[in-house]
Amino acid sequence: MMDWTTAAKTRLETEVARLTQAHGGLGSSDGARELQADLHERAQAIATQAGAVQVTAGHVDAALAAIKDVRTSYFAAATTEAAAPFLPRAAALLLDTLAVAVVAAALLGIGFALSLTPAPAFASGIFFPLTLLALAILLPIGSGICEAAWGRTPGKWALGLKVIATDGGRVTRRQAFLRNLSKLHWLAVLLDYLIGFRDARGPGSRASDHYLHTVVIATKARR
Amino acid sequence: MTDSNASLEAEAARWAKELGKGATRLVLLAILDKGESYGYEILGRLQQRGVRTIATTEAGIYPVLKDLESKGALKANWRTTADGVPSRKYYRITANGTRLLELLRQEWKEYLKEVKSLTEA
Repeated sequence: MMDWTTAAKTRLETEVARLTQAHGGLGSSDGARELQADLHERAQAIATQAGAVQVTAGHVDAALAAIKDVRTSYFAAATTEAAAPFLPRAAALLLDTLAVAVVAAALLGIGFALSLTPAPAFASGIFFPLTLLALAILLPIGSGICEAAWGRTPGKWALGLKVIATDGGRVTRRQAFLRNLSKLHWLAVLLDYLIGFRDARGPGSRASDHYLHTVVIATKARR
Repeated sequence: MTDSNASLEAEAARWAKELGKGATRLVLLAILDKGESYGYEILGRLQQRGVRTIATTEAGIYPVLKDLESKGALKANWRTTADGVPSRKYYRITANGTRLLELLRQEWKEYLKEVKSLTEA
C-alpha cells in the first residue's frame, strides 16, 4: 500500500464524517464504510497515476470530486425505509408475548393433565420446568430464530412490520439473535427503548437496533 | 441546424441512458456470476471496457447492488484485503440470483427480438 500523509488521512476521515452527517440516514453505517473504502482506493489510484510517492489531501479531494452523487451512491437506498413508529412495534411485542404465554399455558396444562393420569411422575414433572424455560427464553430465542429466517416474528407479521439491516439488506443471524437478547427481561427491553429514544432514528427505535445497524420498518404487504 | 443535431444527439444519449438503467441489473448479475467483487471494482471494469450506455457511476450501481442484496439475489460480506486498507463489501451471487439472472437473460432476448421485429422493416 502506498504511504498516506497525515493530512490525507485526516482529510479522508473528516470528509467521510462530514458527508455521513450531511446525507447519512438509516444506512449511514454501511454507506460511510463503502464511501471511505472507495475514496481510499480512488485517491490511491489518482496518486499512482500522477506518479506521486505519497497520497496527499489533494488526491483525496480529487477522488471526492470524481464521485458525482454521494447521497444516491452511498446513502439513498437505505434512507428510503423509515423506521416504524413505537405503537405498532409495542403491539407486535405484546402479541409475541401473548403467543409465548399461550405456549407456556399449553405446556402447564399438559403437565397438569398428565399428573391426573397414572403416567409416571417424571412424565408430568418434565412439563413444569419446560413451562418455566419457555417463559424465560422462548421470547428472545424464538424471536431471534423467526427474524433470522423471515425478518419478522409472528407479532411483526400481524402488524406488517419487518426487521432489515440499515443498508437495506436482510438481517444476519447474529443481528437477529443479539437484537432480541434484551427480551430476556422486561426491564432490559424498557432500557433498550429508553436509550433508543435518544437515537436520531426517531421514537420506537431501540438502542440494540442502533448498535447492531438494524431497523424495524413498516411494510405494505405481509410478505 | 447544428443546434438541432446536438439536441437530437443529447436526446438519443438520454434515451440510451434510460435503457442502460434497466439493463444494469442484468449486467451486474452477469458480472457477479463470474466471481465475487465489490462496487468500486465492478465500476472500474465497466469503465475499462469503455461501456457507455450502462450506468458507470457509483450512483448507478450501488443502489442496484443493495436492492439485489435485499431481494436475496446477492449476498454481501465485509472483508479486509490488506493492512491499513479499509474493508470492502464483497458481493456474490446466490442461487436465487443465478435463477434471476437466467430469467433476466430470457426476458432480455425476448425484448431484443420484439424491438428488432418492430423497428426493422
